[in-house]
Amino acid sequence: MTLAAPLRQPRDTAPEELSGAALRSHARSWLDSNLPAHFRTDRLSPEKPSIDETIAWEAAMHRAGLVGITWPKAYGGFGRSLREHLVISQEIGRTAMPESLNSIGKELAGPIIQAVGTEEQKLTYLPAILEMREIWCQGFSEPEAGSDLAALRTRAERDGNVWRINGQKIWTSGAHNSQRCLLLARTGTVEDRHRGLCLFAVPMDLPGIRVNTIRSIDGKDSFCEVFFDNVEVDEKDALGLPDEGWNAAIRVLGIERATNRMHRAWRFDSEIAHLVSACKSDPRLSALLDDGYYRRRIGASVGDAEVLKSYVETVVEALVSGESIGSRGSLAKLHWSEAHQRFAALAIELLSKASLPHGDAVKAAIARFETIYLHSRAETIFAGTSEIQLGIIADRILQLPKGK
Amino acid sequence: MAFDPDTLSPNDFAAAAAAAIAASAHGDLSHAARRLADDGLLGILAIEEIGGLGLPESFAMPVLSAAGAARSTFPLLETIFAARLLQGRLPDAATALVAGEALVSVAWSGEGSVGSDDDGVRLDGVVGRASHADKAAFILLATDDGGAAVVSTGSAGVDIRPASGIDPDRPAFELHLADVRVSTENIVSAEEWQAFRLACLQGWAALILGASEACLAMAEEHANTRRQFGKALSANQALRHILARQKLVLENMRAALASCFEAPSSSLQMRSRAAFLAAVEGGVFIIEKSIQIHGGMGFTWDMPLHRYLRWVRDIQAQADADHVLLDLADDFIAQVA
Repeated sequence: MTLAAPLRQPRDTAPEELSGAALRSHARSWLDSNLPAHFRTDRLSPEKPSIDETIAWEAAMHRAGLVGITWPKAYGGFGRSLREHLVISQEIGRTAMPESLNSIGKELAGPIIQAVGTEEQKLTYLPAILEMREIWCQGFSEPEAGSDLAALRTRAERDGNVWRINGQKIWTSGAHNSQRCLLLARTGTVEDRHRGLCLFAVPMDLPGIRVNTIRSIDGKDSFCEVFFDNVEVDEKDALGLPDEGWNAAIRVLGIERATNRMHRAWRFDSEIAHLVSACKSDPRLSALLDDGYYRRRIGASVGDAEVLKSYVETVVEALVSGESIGSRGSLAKLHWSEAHQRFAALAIELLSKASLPHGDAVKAAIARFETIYLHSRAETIFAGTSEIQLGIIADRILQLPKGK
Repeated sequence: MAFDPDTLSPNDFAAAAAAAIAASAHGDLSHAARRLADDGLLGILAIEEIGGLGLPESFAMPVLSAAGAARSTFPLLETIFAARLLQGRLPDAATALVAGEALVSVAWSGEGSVGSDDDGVRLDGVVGRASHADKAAFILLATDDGGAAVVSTGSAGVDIRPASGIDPDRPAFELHLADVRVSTENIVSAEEWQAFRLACLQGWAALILGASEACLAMAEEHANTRRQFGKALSANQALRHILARQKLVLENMRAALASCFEAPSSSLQMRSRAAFLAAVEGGVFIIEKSIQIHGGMGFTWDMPLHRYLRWVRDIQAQADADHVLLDLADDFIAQVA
């Protein structure tokens, strides 16, 4: 372990009286002081963060008050406002650091549990997510039910005091590193479509669960297929009644899609700055920053990032004002994923023109942006493909008539 | 008439502005000026001492969006911002603008050459893209020292000539200046001129937002009611996705514009440029796709979609959108270590 000393201290929480600029300053200085050098995604490092180090880092972020910001204090959160969440998200976005290992737990499972979980479930699951004792994965997609989740076939049958699960999930990011799975399974028949669906918090060490990793285009074992063979899940791990859990989850996700990962607007901005910084370190790339063609494309990405930041800020203000944001999250997701792909393509194109031999700054940028470019291909696929988002906009925002 | 911005919201103006702009559409520009002045819209940003309402810029945006939706040909953006610009240095001119007794035009392209001698300040050169200049009492034009000047159209040495332009609803003119004499009060500093242009970027974004909303509404209406192959056009996934993309860029425009008034002053310039660029690019996309969705009907003169498109393309040229994009990039590049 090479983590900085403060990470091992028990509590470094942002004092409750901090808000606005002081809270921002606390978050910025804590991140700058504590992010281990080899976690920085904008620098070259011979070593990569291990799983254990990442768990320790994210647990330390929680102790510093930078995770679980709006979650109730009773469940390990900090009970802060959405505006304060935005401030901290902006600082996290500005910092070149890896994405969370437990984003499913923090951004998907956590809010759903808060909405539909029993008091016992909240007290059990939520602190474990924030303290990184339990990493979650998402068991929604299946080989025959990708975008069309209502077609899923994994079955959950009541058997005494347990639910017996049989089926297969796929594209389950991080399942091999997870302790729990937010599983969507069917208690009725496939013909029931959206009815008869139940959510479970399945421990991943139960007998009958088998996980195979799938290598993704970036060369990483990013996601998995997960097989459930007569897995007995305790009834206390069911999230809501059949139908109830899923319906509530849909409502929650409408808001979460707009407010989770707020940091990525500012991460986008900092990635553009990193690209420009790398270009300035190189004679050939520096000259290209004066080239109108590349200036315009950089300007377009800057504009895209500004629009994304605007989306986030206006959604936060709308929610604070008590407005319903409906399906606005689909707009932000669609804009971000497509704009980020354009930027990533620009980044690798620009960096390919660097002088030889490459300096360290260019090497670091190439390593980072090649990964971002490849990973960005998934951004228009995961969490609802672009086509699904367009369908949501057409159906729910424009409310265009269907059929005849 | 004074309003308290603490108890009013910008959107409170939207409905009233739409009604006033609709009422002003019947008649010539003088008639429109008087109607809009009577409703307080021309002085929305100007100080009370010259008859304005003294409201913040955010209050002008719903008014301009309403003008965009209604395809108002009145130079509302120019009047609103020019009245505020001139209220301190040329209060009589600003008062006349707010009262609807005089029209102003802005020459958006070119620069006048500014010089001085014993007789005062002298302007020469050719400037263009001045809509309705033939009916204006004053022209605001950029000067080659980075600032701007206000020229009375009746001044000796001012020759106003019709110019080609894509937008017949807002005829463009060139101004040929030959030894035009202005007083020092007519000179606008570079700092003031930059602030004026920055505010206009927001104003243009609001105009285009309104125009785009109107065009998307027309496209939706047509797609939902026009039936082909036994079903509404909008039942086809290809068209549903085009309409959804139009909605996406419309909401991009709306969010980007709204954020200009929430952003810290340090990011106002970047946000304003981004909002303008989102509006121009998005507006052109929405209107062109709306024409496409209408099929042959969209290509006719009687369908107003081409008028919106011409207007947005004209704004793109007036603002020199390409230059705005390069400025956005250059400012960002400059601030990176």
